[in-house]
Amino acid sequence: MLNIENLYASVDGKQILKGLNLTINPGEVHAIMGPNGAGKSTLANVLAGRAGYEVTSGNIFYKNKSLLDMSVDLRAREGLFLAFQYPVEIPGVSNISFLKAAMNAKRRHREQTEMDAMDFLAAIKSKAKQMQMNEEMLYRAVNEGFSGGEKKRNEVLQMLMLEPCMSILDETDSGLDIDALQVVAQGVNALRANNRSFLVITHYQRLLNYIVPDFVHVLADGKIIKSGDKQLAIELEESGYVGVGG
Amino acid sequence: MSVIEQYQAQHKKLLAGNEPDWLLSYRNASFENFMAQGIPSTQRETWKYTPLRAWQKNDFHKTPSNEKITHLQELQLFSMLDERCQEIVFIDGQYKSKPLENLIICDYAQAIKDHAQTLQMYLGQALVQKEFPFASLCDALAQNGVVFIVPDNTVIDKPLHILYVSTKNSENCVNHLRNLIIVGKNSKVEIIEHYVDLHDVAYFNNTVTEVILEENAKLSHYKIEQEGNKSFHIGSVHVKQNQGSAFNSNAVTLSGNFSRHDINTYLIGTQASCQLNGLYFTHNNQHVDYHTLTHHDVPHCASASLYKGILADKSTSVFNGKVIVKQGAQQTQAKQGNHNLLLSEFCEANSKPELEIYTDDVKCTHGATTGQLDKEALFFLQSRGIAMSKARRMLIRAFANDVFNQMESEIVRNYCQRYLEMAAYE
Repeated sequence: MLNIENLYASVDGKQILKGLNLTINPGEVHAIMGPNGAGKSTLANVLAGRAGYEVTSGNIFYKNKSLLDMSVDLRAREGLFLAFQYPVEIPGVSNISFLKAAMNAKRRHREQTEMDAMDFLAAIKSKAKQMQMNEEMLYRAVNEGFSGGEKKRNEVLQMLMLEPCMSILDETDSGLDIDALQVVAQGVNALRANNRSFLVITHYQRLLNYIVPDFVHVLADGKIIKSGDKQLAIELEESGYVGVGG
Repeated sequence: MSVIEQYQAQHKKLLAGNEPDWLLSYRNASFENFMAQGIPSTQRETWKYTPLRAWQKNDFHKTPSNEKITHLQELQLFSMLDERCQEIVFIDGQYKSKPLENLIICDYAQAIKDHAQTLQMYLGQALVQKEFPFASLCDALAQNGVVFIVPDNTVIDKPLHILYVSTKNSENCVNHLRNLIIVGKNSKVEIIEHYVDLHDVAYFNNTVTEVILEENAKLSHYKIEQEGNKSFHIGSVHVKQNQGSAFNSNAVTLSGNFSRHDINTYLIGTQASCQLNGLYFTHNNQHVDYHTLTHHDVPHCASASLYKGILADKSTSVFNGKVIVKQGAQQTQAKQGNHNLLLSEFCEANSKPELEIYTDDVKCTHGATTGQLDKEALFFLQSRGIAMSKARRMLIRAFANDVFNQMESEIVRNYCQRYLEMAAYE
């Protein structure tokens, strides 16, 4: 699904990623943990294609195609999804019209017809319910006036609607209370399938109790220094990053 | 002959015609006023950012020929295409529609004959000419336009859509259009002035719309400028509001070349209110100038204005909103906002909200902002698969939305939104 080879990336001329390698196969859930400043968010932003994140060397292959040659929106239409650490507020654009535009962009890309309005409404209402979101939030401007938890639920709602092949969750657990965390995790787990992959970026092991990863990696100083299974996350929680040489 | 000498000759010719004496003296006073003011230079504060050099070069003084224009199918494009609207059409200044049944809607020239008394009573009531040279010129020379008299206690359900069409017959010509709208006590009406251009030739529309709102009258007024890239438009709307009347003004520039619009409101009866909305979307070398002037002459009135501009390419805009609260006009509420979205680094938005308050116990606010499309929001939309061009359009529409939300007519709102979406394609 995703193949990252010896990736070097910089922000504002500062080298952040320094030779990162990672392979994610279809159906796998990988977690990346690491201290502040290790490059976790940089990795997420490079994958999504945010401006200002410059890849200085290395390659990223997504479904065997060069990801770095694709525009931000093409990556998304090809099934890559970034759940934002800080979801953006867009005054004047209603949540529902935004989601419809996103759905139709993806469908056109797959040469499918646009979704019937009634079908779309039925789908989004049921998924909003799944995320325990008030229906009224669909008609409000995207993320405007949403609480931290509501914004994160809204991210997972988009994920549920767009059904991405490769999801990257950038500290989706930050700012969530335990109830919201469970709802968000449930949403993600509902999507788990043997043709979808996930990359969960987090500071804390807590989220991984709910989204149980197949692999856990420790990112420090721009590269992966240790990999293991879910047990590694528990060890990290106990001994800290220093304990694994971070 | 200079353009002014041409106007002078035309004026003399009119004076020799067979119009009633009161009208001739009105025309005379108007022309004298025009001559006294002359063509405003940028030295004049109200024309500071709107030089008339290009206008002057064009020497617009001829009247359009009456040569028959065929193939007007394009007009369909500008129709509201809604049976809830009544549509009348002016082509190159000439009234082309039948008078509407049961309503007093007719051409200015016709009104001079048929409704002389009403005209004599109302003409110039809301228009203080000394400030507006082009309005004076229009009043001196105009022979066309709409006169719409709504009797007392009348609610007119169907909006009146007036299409002012310029064709190639208007090339290098001027159309002086004089509209007069009188809305009787407790009456309610919606009027859409829509200026369009079929053949992209250089012409000059010089328009005046004068509105008298009697007690508790309500008018929703739309002025949509959708003209070509060689057009010149100088127009003003003058409104006199009696007690309890409500004026909802919507000024929209969808396309054009050079335009100056003035919207003057006199709140002379208590409890009167006006809401002034504006939206301009400018391209290429377009220049648009909106001046609003609201006079709070008496206590307990409310005015609000919201103007938003979207500027692309090398276009320039001016917004100057002025509110004057007279001595004794306590409990006045006035708010003003002007917000501009710059889509290129070469465009320029000039914004000047002004308040002149000569009394106490008022609530007045104003604000202005200028910005660009939010890069974070664009990235967010793109990251959900939405192409850059579509993402930009969504944000442009979102920016314009609160002006659209103020528009009472769904028909006009839809029409303008459709156009905006189309024009926002790069």
